[in-house]
Amino acid sequence: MILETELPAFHEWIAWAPLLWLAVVGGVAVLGLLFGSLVAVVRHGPVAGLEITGKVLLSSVWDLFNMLPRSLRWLNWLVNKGALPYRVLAVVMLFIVFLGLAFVILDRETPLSLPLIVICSVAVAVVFLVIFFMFVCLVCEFLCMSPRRLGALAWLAVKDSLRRRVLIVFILFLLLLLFAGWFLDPGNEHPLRLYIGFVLTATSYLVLLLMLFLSALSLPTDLKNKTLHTVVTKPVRPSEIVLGRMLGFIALGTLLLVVMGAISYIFVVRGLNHTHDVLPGSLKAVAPGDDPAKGDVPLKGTSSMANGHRHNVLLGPTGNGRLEMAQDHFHRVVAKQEGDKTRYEVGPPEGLRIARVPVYGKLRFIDSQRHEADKGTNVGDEWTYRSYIEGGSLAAGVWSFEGVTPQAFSDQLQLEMTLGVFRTYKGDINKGIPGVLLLRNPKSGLTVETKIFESREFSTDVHRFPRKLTPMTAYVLRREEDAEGKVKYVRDELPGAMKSRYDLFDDLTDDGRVEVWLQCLDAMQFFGTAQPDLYLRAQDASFALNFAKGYFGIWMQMVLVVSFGVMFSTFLTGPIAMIATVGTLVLGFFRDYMVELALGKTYGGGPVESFIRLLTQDNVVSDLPAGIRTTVAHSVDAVLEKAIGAMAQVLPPFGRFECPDYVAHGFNVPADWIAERGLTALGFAVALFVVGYFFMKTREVAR
Amino acid sequence: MNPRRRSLIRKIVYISCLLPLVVTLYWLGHPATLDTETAKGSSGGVLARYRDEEDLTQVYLGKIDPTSATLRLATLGMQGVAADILWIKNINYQKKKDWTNVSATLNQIIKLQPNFIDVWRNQGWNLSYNCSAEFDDYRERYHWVIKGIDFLKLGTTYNRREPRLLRDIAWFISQKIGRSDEREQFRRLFKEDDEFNGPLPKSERDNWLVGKRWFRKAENLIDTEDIPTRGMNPVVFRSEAAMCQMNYGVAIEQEGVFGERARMAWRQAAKDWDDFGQYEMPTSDGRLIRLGNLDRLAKERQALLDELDRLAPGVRKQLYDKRYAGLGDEYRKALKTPTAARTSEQQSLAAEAEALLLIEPREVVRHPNLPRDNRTAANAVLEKIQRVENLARVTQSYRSIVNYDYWERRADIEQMDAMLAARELVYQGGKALAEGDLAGATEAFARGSVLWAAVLRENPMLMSDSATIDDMEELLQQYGKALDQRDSLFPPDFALAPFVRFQVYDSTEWFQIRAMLDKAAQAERKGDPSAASSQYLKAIQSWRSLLNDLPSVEQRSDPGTTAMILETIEKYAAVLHKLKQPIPSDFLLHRFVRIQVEHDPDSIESQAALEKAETAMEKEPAAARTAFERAFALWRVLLDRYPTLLADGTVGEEWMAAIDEYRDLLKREKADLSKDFPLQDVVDRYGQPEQP
Repeated sequence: MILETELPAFHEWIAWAPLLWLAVVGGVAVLGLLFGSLVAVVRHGPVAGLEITGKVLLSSVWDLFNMLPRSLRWLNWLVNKGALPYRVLAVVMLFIVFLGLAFVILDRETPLSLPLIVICSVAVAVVFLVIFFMFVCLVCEFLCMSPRRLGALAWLAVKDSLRRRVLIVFILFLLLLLFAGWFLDPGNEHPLRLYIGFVLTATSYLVLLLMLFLSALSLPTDLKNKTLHTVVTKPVRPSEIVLGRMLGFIALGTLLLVVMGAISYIFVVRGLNHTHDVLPGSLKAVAPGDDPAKGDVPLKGTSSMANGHRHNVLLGPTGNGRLEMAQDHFHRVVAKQEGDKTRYEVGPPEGLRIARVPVYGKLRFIDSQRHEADKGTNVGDEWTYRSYIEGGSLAAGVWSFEGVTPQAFSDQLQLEMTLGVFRTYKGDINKGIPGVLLLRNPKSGLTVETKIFESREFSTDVHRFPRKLTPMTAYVLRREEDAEGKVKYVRDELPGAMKSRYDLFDDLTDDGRVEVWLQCLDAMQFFGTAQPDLYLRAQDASFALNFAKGYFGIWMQMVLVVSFGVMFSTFLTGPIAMIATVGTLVLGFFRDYMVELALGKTYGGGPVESFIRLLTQDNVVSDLPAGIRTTVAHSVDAVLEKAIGAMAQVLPPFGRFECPDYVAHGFNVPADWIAERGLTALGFAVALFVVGYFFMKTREVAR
Repeated sequence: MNPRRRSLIRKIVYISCLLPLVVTLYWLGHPATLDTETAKGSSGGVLARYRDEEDLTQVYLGKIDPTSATLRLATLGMQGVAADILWIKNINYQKKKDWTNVSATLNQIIKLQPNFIDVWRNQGWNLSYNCSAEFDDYRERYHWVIKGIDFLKLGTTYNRREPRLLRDIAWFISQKIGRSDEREQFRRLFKEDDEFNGPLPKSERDNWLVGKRWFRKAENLIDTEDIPTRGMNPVVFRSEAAMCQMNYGVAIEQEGVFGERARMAWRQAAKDWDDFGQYEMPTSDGRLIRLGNLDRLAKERQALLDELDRLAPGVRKQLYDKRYAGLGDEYRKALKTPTAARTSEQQSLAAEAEALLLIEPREVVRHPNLPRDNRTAANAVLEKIQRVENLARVTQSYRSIVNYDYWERRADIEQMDAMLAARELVYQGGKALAEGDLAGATEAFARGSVLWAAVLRENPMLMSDSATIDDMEELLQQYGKALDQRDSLFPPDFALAPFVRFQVYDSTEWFQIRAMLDKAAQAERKGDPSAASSQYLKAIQSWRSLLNDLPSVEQRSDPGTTAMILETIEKYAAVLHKLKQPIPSDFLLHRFVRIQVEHDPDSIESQAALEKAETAMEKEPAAARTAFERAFALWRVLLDRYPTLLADGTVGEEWMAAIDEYRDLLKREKADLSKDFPLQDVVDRYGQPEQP
């Protein structure tokens, strides 16, 4: 499976995630504020509009202010003096602070200058202060909330949604599944990927669309029909209205997803279930001299066609055997004697619905002089995901694994790898490129050459290392570091004689650490590899659970859509709230692209430069001719790119919540992924709730 | 105004605005209806009629796919945008080698735009040529080639009136499978591919034959439904089916199928080519030609010329004589010299003279001696001649596009017994060589060469045909390899020596060599050895480059050429001798000379003497000494015969080792090399100075 960005370990992620969360909360608030002030300005004119915005913002702070102890009343000037310029100043300051913060986060890689550090520190301090105020305010609000009222409001949202015939989505979904056969190619080499991709995409589109409509239209419709008035006349708090809606919709969405998930699971299982017949006419003896008619000899042949594929059949002398791997699965065959005829019973597909648990190592490269290098050879592939190992030389790819203990892996290591192959000359096309796997103890340097294999590109190669390894050859690869810190490996002979067997855990691991070295043996040919291409396979996890995790990804997206929809609907009319939510959703899917754009990593420059290129039909790589036009374009782009970058930081990364790749490729979705994405979604939901609450509070109806 | 009244007026305004729009829409877009028993159907609105005129109605184009229609409806007319987005995704998946999604997005694109032919063609190509090349395993590559072909086949169900798709299928099956680096494996897999070939019997599962069948389907579609050959050159397109048959012949012979099956294949190829020649096709200016009609046109022209000569008796002769008389002496001399004996200068003079002596029919008609009464008739004949010539010229130029003459001849030649036998023998020779049977290989190659030589003698046009040259080069290379392993050279009466000589004479180097040797000879005559040596050196450089192209000459595949090279070397050595300059040690033809020396009888005898000397050294020093001396005497002869040998370090050091052994022998007798030692120059050049 291809993992272009490495998933950080949870403990690493959590170290910087809160900072990011602060930026998101701040950013969402600023965007909401900007949007609100824009609406106000359009409706009431510039001066009055800004004043209203200021009041909205400060009213919450004022509420808070009243709760503060007297010693903190020095902030009085900000609220009490009441003059418009002060309020505008406050808004502008807040805006700058948030932008500054977003910039800092965006440019984490650039070294910070002293003034910038000062500005950022002040900015962060102010933001913390504001957040702290908000937090106190929210805690008060929470304390005043009643679970019973909240429950009743959520139930109201659910009932309201059911009245809107949400069940129609089910019918649509069932229809889609019924006709899915038209879209899904049964002859595909990896049918599971296709099926999983289909059900997850269909579900997410339907559920997200439905939730988008419900969440964005619900509050404005209630306001318009004045049904909300019957609610607000009761003693409910604005926070309860917002949170009640959110929870109600989320509960409904969850229910929908659970049912759809169950149906999809049955669809996938049934869709992929099939069997074949062994074609007796195709059976021939494996060994040329044997007579198949006599029986008791190994046979090979082909199976009948089913689901767009057929298998090679390999039967042992007893008649039992298997249909060999095709389309990621195999079948077991049992021979049954019926009179003088043999009937072959073919079992269901196996190995198709799995959830491998890979243990990934850290990859580094060794060049042809046995020096350590970050990357291997670049063979000119446009996609630089894989780096290449030069064949017939000392160059190698080295994976360092941890946690390789007898407890975790019992009596053998199962290593799986997918290699890219690059040939500089044709060579023998009937054969793959030979390679070798070495195991090295990182402490003692003991290195054992274990296996010579032939490359099989784009398919998963499985190698098993038994606990007691018979070495082809063994030596010591000593790590040496020179004065410049360059690391080199030197081959020494073994201190004693080579053992006939090496113990995997006693001899080759050091405190659970082991290195796997991969070398290509043919000169002028290359193996291409990336870190996730080689892993150790631990005990498989449950496929059904993994499938559920895939649905959990959609669930998180649904939570975000509901949060955005409800937040926008607290201050916008129904259709506008919907458009705003769709806009956020679409931009959220392009978030990574926006970040790239902001960092200047895309071809063709920023918005203005690209526009010029579009008009002049210029290609995207050549530099624009120097001149005033280009200077102006670049200057404007620099500002726009920063703005885009800042905006990207506060958009939810919708794409990252999708995990069909894991499920479809048969890989267990890691717990870290669930935790990190779950917390991210929660962070957004909380931030959106806060903003929604403040907006709701300003609505006349809610006061 | 009363609000109700205002509302009524507003509605009336709306309706009056809507009405013209509705009418216009109906006029443009109302669909066509079919005739029924009771009523006649309508031809529909403007759009429906236009669709019908341009053959764009869905039923007309091909299969109606409900999925595709649903998807297109669901995109609300934005299928173009959706297809673009999918296309970008497809490129990205391909870049990331995500083949599952490449196929999946392709399926979606074609559902959105099933009648966009370039999508089918481009993506079919992409699958068969680009995606397949990404795989290391040839079986996977084959799988993707077939995937591309299947994709195109699917395209034909949606677009049944599209010959370009049929032609692409035919091209991929024939050319991609039959011409790629992996053709040997691809052709085998194609034969075994039950899924693709279905019930087709194995004997007919040859990619060239199946490709031919698809070309014929494309031709039939064009002929029966009168569809233009959009974007395809009609001459090339119509030749492709016959070319498949030719390639089939070539391919089976490469795989070792000869005899009657090969002859039948070529017979069919000749017939197909003839049919192609008789097919009437339009030229770019709208005239209709038949490529096979050139002979008929030539005869027609000759008949018209004869008629013109009858109308203007003796005029042509008068014109010719007058013009001949006006030619310069050197021109006449060049014309009188037989073609083979002409110098290069004479060749160009003769060509010029022939052009000058050519009498155009126009000149005959305009000649004052043409009888006045015959003028009108002569003008009519002239017009006819010009028309025929024009047609012949166009036919000839179209013939040259597909190399018509060559393939016509080739299909005939390949059916000849001698040709079939020659190919079979060469194939057997190659097989024997691979199995290590050197005697069998040289025997088969020798017999094959004799047969090939006979074929080439009968069909000299093959001498300059690149495919034949490739075949011959392979034969010479393999035969040379077998001979080299048996330590021998090509036989002195090697049958293909004329072919090798032809290749030498046909090369650009040969013209340079001749010019340089002429200049060198002139310089020598003028007594300027320095200029002569520089010209000889240049000639030697050209010989080297020629030897690189024709390595078999080093093994005396053409003794005449070998002799010419040796002569050049000899002259060069003589000039250097005059100039008192040594032969440079990096002389370009050392290897060539060494091979000649190794097979010189004196060299062979000297080797025998040396071996004898070495075995006798310990026990019979006197016999050893005699044997050494015999060997040295022979080496002296060789040194005089091949003057550059002294400068060849490899030979020099080998000889010096023998001389040292001889010296050791002498030392035992307390003697040293005599003053008249025949190889003193070798000792001077390669010997170590004596330690004091």
